[in-house]
Amino acid sequence: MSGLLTYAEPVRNEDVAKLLHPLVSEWFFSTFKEFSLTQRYGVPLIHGRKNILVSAPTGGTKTLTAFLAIINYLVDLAARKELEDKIYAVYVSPLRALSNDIFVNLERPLQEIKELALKKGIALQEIRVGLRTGDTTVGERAKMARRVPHLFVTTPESLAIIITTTKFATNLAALEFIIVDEVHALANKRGVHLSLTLERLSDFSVIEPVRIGLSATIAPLEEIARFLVGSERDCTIAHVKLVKQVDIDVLSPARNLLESEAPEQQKRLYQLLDELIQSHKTTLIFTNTRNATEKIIHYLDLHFPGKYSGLIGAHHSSMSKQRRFEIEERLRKGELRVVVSSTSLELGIDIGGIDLVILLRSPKGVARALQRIGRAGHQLHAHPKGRFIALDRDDLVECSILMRNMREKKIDEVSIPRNALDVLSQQIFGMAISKVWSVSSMLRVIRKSYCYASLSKEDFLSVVSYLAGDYALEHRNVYAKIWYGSQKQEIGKRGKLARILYMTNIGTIPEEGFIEVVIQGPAARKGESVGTIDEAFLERLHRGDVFVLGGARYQFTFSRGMKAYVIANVSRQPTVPSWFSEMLPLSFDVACDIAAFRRHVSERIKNKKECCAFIETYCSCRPELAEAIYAYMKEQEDFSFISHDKVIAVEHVKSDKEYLFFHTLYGRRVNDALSRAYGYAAAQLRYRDIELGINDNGFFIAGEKLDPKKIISQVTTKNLEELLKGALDKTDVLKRRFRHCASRSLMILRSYKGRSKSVGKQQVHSMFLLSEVKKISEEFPILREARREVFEDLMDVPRAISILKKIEQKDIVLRIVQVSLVSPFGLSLLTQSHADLISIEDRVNFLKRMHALQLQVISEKKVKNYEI
Amino acid sequence: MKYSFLGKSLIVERAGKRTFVVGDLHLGYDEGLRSSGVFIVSNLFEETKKELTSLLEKAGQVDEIILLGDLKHIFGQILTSEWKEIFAIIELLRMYCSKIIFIKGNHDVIMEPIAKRYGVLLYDYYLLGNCAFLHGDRDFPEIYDAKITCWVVGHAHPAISIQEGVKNEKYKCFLVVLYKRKKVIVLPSFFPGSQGIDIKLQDLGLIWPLDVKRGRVFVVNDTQEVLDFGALETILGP
Repeated sequence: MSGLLTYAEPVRNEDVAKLLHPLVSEWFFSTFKEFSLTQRYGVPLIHGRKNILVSAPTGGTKTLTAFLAIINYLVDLAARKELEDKIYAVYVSPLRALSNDIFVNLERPLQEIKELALKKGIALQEIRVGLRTGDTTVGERAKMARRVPHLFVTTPESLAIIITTTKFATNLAALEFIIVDEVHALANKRGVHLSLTLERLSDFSVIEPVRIGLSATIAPLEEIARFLVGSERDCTIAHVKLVKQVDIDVLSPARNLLESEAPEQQKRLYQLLDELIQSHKTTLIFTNTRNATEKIIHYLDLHFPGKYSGLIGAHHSSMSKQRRFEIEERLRKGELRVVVSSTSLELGIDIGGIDLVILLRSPKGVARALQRIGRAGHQLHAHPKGRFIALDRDDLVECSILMRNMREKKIDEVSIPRNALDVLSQQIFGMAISKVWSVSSMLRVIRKSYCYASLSKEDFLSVVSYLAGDYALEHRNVYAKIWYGSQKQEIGKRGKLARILYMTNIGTIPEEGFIEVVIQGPAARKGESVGTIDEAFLERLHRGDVFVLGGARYQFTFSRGMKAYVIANVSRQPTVPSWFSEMLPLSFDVACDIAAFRRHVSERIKNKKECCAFIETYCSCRPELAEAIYAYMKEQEDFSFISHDKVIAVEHVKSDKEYLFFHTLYGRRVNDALSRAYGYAAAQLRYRDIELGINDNGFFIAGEKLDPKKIISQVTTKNLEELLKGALDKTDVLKRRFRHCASRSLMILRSYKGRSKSVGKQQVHSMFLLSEVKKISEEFPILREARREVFEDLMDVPRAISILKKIEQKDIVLRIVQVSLVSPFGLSLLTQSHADLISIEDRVNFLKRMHALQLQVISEKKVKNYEI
Repeated sequence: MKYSFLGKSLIVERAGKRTFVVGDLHLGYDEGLRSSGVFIVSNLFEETKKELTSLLEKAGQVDEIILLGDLKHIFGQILTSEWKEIFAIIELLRMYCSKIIFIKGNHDVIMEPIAKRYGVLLYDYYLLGNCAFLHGDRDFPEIYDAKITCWVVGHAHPAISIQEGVKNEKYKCFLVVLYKRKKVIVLPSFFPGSQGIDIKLQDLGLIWPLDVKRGRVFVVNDTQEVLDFGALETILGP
């Protein structure tokens, strides 16, 4: 049975006012003139105890909307002396830095109402607020346990911990409201984890708590609503469409965007940034990656010595809590001119009066672009101002189309992971700690979550069996985390360490470490440390790759643990752009819009004037940028042709090896699937390994000899999934994903017996782990989860199939062209793509073949039992 | 004296006597993983036993067995599983030969009680004809004696990555290199959990500054076949 979804309408100002207790009403109108649109949607529904999803742009007073109805209820109780010692409402937010927001939206209102009551001689019981995050001290926790807070503010992870704590569970037994803030940031495994925590919370609460979700602009709203309330409950959606004018434009440091790493280009970039910063009061720059964040700060200082000292700050997730607090505080005080952030300042903490947001490189989706730009003019009614800075020509096209979609309010759709078995393992472990469950009741609670509504009993039992240590055979006792009585069909806690193990290893966000870059040669500088790179960046590097760090070029040789070894003083051109990192994939919708745009341009390409004018209007961009886009497209047209949504270019290049460039503009998730299918087909044809490069705009496969017609004919709608299954076990991507899944399912403990495990140590084992788990069973639940994650979260198989269908129906044509050199479109694919390798040739045969080659080198005979 | 490779092991023949030599075993690795919080079922010990058995079967009659040190994985203490595993290995070796020699490695700090209990010979180094067997982390004046022409050592875990394009696979290997007019044979680790360290890139970590580039590489395929790849400096790849 599935619950009902309805859409809310706003009520009139006075209809909200009459719901409020006189004290609350007086306080509200002493602070605000009237209710915001969001409040007119939300407050009555929350007052009426309806589950609600509020979706409103940033700065839409969402948090206070949720709190207002609840404060009102509590003040009413407090005035009647009916306030009990229990937690009435839980507020959970994925943000770690919560305190200021809570002060503004919760503590200050409560304080002011208290003072008002005092002035009027009305006796109010005290309404207590408790904050618990990963940073809360033991002392603070103990205090909270003694004096129960009425409003409990926490993070998803801390919430999962406290519901397994007996004392807190009692305080939560009659919970009435759950507020989930920043829902848009939870369409991932962290959200999946929270969805189960909410079900656990609802399960032991004697009354069904009302669920209130607060989200920035997001789509599809109905799926997000289901995610919030689960599949069986009703929910009302308040889609608040604030007409906020957004002032956006795209800029570029230079007309010639071919060489974005060139010094001249870099210099202009910093000049442009400086100009923008200088003409605004406070600027926030988003860079997508942590590396780039540090880089911008470093170079701004280099280009403008002293100008920004003390006026600039970095803010990213790997900085310490204190450092981030400090930066936020200085922002609010207006002490900083500019803050550079990777993604950490995207979410809703109030950061004061930002008047310009710069997006360095495409933010890859409309929702994210809106969210970031919304950070400027966070206050209601202020006009957010944002500037995209495009750093290469694909980036320029992408930013331009994103801007167009923002104007047209085309929001890209998110998808939520379903039936994730690693998160499930962690939660079953937590549930087993709380009490003894019957198998059927535990499964029933789990299935109430939208993310597990379709979980099969077999999958559930396979996870239970993993946790019970069944797979470990004679060592069962060592590996078992829960107790499972298969006769009585009951699940419970096992071992004295269970609770502490759960508390110290909870969470779903894989730890990403910084890799130290160490010089291996020349000998004079051996051992010198030259800086750090992201783990994701390291994964992109192959031996021999040249990259830029701190302005100098290094050649990568190998990595060990948390160190990458390089050769300094190399003169070769970089082979990997330093901007590159594990970036968010471009949304499918935006990618398709770019493909359509390319078609419009290709139809007009012969007439430069007309075409430039078209681009200028279509993207609402500056004439010089329209011209740059035209030049890029024209170059491609002259070389081979412009690939677009109806005709896809497959460029065949022969050099030291053969390349096939597929210009499939569908975003990385679709290309991740297509590339591996075509790559695997090619690998199978000749039983040789195939290299892959994948990005949002297409992919390439490379190998010794490629027959494009034959390869293309091997991939069909019918066999795509089969090909992918075959391909997956032969690539690196599964190994990387498996490590994270193993950590989430508590197979690898971050913290055990008082020792914390470094990311590096986990990394060393990842290859080994995968091969060991395959020995247990190819169907081991956590291995299946790693495959599911790749298939469903990393790739977009359904859409890849829909594309193949169009190809089969001839709605889309794949046109093979022989080219002598890599085309302009191909060039960006070659230099800016995620690499993978389909290794179909096994180790034994590979070594034999290489030995035969080596024999030619040393011209000696193959030796068995060699005599020295 | 005659030296021949058999999978990851080395067979030394002298006057009709055959000596079977293997490198670092690192027993107790499985438990080491568990005690550091990695709860994945690994059974490297079973693999080690299986491979040893298979090689000993192929080797035929042997007169002594030398383990080149680092029998244990964990330093300083002896875990319960290590006792069990070491004992099981000794039992296994006994089925093929009664004379078993342990060379002390840097991981084997407290091996004496084990050796005593199971009647195994325990040495810092062992001389046989003109050959010296030692671990490789410590030096001894006796091995420089003029009549000693060959050193057989472990400790370094030599492996080599074979590369073609972006394909890159690592294999265990023997390394034979001349040093002070002695032939040094470095055995790969016997430990099945990892291939070892890449001799193209990393330092061997032996006590002597060997000229690795001039060394000759014998690569061990997963089928136990040993392939001569010639001098390290001739092997392709960066």
